[in-house]
Amino acid sequence: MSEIFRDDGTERDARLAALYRTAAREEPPPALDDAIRAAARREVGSRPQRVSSPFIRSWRVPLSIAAVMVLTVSLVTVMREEAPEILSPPGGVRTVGEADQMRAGPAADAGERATAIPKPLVPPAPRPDSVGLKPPAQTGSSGLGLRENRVSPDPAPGSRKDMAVAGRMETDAPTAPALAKRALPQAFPEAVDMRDDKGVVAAEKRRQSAKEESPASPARAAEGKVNSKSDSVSADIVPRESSRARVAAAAAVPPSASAPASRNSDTLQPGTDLPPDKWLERIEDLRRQGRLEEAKTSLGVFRKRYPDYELPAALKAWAGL
Amino acid sequence: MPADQSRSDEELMERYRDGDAGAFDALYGRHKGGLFRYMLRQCGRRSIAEELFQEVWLNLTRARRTYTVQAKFTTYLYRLAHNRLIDHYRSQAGGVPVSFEDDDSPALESIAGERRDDPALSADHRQQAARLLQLIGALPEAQREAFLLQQESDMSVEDIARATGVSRETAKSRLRYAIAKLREGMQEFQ
Repeated sequence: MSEIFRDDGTERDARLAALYRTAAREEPPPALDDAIRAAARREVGSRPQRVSSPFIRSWRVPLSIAAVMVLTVSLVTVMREEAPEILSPPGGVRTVGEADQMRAGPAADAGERATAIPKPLVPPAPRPDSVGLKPPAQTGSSGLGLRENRVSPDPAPGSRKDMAVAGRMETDAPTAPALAKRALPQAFPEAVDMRDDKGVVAAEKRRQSAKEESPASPARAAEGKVNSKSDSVSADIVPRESSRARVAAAAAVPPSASAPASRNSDTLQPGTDLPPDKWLERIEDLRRQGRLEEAKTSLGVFRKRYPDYELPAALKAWAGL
Repeated sequence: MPADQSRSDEELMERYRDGDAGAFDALYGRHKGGLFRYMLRQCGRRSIAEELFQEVWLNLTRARRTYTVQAKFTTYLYRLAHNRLIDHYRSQAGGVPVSFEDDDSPALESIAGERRDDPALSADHRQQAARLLQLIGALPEAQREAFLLQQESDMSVEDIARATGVSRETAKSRLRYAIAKLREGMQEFQ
């Protein structure tokens, strides 16, 4: 008895333990053992093993949020660069004056122009797909942008630059992009002037081939005939920024003003890279040659670019100003 | 698996959590007897004990992915068993426990049969063992649980407290009362 009652009464009693071991020998039936082991194996095998540390578990949610944020910012940035019209508010329409500022002429800083991203002037409907102008080569465009329809340079005689800037004639029923195409050289002449060499070469080639095919082609071009097959001929990948700028400029010019300008590519950009006085001289030359409509168109472009420039009295009188 | 025999319960459970089914076999082999006897003593009927026993192990396998070593494995295992028993008691009309006073219960009959088959046991020893089982069955459920946990899994008072969800003092009191009653009941064999 003395060995039974000891300490605080909770120690393992050797005698009781021995007796218990003798009496309690029950085991689960083998069938139950097999069932439990099989269930345990199924539990392991039925699901892919996922060994995730507490560190991973605790950072799963923050990492997911961070990934979503990075993705969102990246998407917004890309969209802002490539399709700002989607992100811009409706009120963010560029005015004609802003467009004029954009084409501030040779005096403007080329670096600023290269980095400036034109804002959309028009809704996406008149997309510049048919405006076949090339980006300014010196802007250092990255080459990202829309794929444009191709426009052949007009085979009209003139300088190489004139060929490069020549717009192409439209068919009978001009569409909105077509109108934009017509008006573009007026509204954004320097963009036209700055076509890259590749475009110029293509224009030269087309002009030569046109001469070979038809000796009358210069005259035809001067009359504003349509070369309907030229839409997809000579264009290259055009940066989106310049495309938007062209469309914006086209929208800023009334169709009535732009339509005559497209009649003769030789007069679309007369003297646009010249100082104002030289430009006016060029207009006078046109007037003297009897190319009145071209002179008027060129004068209209001039007045848009230099609204405050004092015109000669004779020119004023001729233009009815 | 000799390698598994040298591993602790906690290591085996972690290996099973990570997909080693063999670790579960070793773990099950170590603890199936004790847990089964615990269930058998606590619910009194073999069929019910087998059912509860199986459910406890299945619960363990289902919860393996969330297992972390926070205490002894036996504490974890018997905590699952304790909770399952409480649920079982609550589902019964009378609440707590089944009486072991019935000498004709299958468990006791089988025990008596095993004892009779063991020639090493003297008649006196077999009689004392049968009496001890009667006394265990007569204990209040909580005291019996404390005693069984100590005997079957070699738990300390602290481990018993953790497994049964009570304070250390409560577990200690239950265990002390259980042992005192069993000793008192076994005095006739002194």
